[in-house]
Amino acid sequence: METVREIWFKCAKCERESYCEASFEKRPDAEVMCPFCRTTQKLKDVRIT
Amino acid sequence: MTDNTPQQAAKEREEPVKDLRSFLAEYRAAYPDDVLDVHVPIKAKYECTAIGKHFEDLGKYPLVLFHRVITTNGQISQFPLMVNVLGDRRKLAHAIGSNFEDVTIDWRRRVSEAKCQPVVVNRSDASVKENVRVGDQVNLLDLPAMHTHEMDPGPYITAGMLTTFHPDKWIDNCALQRGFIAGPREIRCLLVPTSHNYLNYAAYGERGKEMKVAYWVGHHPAVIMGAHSGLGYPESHYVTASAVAGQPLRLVPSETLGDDFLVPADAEFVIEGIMVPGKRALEAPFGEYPRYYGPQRMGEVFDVTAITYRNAAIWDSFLVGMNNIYGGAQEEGNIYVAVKRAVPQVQRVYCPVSGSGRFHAYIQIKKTHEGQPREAIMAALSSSANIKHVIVVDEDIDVFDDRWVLWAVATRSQWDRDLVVIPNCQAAFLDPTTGERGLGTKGGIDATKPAPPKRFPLRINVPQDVLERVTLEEYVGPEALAKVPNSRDMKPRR
Repeated sequence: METVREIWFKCAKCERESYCEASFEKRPDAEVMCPFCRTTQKLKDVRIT
Repeated sequence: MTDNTPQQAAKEREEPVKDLRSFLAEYRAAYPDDVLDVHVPIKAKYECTAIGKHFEDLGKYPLVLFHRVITTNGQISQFPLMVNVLGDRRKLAHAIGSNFEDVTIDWRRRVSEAKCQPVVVNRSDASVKENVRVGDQVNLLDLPAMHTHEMDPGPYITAGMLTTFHPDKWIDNCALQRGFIAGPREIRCLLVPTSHNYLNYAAYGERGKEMKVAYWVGHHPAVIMGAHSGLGYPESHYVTASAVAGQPLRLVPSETLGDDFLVPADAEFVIEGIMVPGKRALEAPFGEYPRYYGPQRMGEVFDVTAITYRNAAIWDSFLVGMNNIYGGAQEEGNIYVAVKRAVPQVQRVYCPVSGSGRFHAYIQIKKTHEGQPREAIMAALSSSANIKHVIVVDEDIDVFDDRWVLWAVATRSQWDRDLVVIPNCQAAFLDPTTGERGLGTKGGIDATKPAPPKRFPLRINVPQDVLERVTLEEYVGPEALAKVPNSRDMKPRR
């Protein structure tokens, strides 16, 4: 059984959605960068569940 | 690799150096209407892509030179931007003196022969040293690098040949690998884990050493094709670049990476720097060849130490995702070699744009045995992780036209008899249907007629002599003929 490929997140600043690799899930403090406004934020804070 | 002896230098002088400019001059002379110069200011962010998209919608892929590109920093770049130099099969064929049908086989044949060695020239003979910027003098944001698609995080190097050297054997490795220009002197790259540059990266990491690295951008397409050929590890791509171009590739020592780190002397740009193994930063999403955004990841950081470039240097970019003919052409050569070993009756191979240039492979064989289509399917599927679907057709089917391949599927195959399905294969990571572990299902369709001496219904046809005698120009007239619309574009007059 394959697992999820991407993790979706929604930028807290510009509110646009994007996604990162599933491997980010393995790092509890992983950060992501909104590709639209370049804001960096904790994945756990902006993850779409 | 040989030194630049006076005899070799003299020999070189007899033959014009193949570089991007020589190709542009030749191609413009041969196909003047297929080279466009855009002098209207245009933004590197999305706008150049929009031009490419409009042309794609028309089914046209001209080589376009944008002479006044507004960069990320809001300035008009001093450099022109070129797109589509590898944008269609005719240009690839022109680059290596081949033709539309045979270009990928000829490309692969030259790689396998690989008899031509590169030469080292002095800095004073290297065009790429006409301008040298080191350290703080470098600002990559001055380049007209395209911010291609909406969810890309910024400008990318897309037609950059990322070059590294094996840490022990000091053999060069070149690959077209994307790089996100994250700052004036920072690039974040995608080193795919199966790539040889990644193997070098890992090897440097094991030794606790930083990896010297360079991007070179803009060269004769034959040099690009040769350098980008799939080889064993480690094998020199500078050798295959020379072989495919048909002349020794001129190399020159780097500015900041040592005299043994050689870079192409006639490239438009060379960007030098280092990668510290383990140093990664956020990169992507990026609109990739399957026409989806690949997810954000941790990219290998390329800290830039220098940039060198020619006078009036031309920046080369791919229109990534559009008319993926170049990626497909490279796959075709590898597939042809693999299938030829298993089924010598293979005639042609084509990786169509409908499979993003990689996922579908059409194989034409001159069938003499019922087992050949399956042999061809298995050989093709195992030739590359990217190849997902293989359709084998007879020699009367034009593999360069999806319509006829699908017609063969429609009329020469039965699902219970002619389908091959192989689950849990290594698959293309950027195929959005594969799982996190990169597993996918591959398959093939035998869309061939029964092998002789079995008979099969005959295709409808018009006698060839009649087709040649009865022409539209004569019976309809050239003026009326030119006005007949494509049925898809037809609009009623009222």
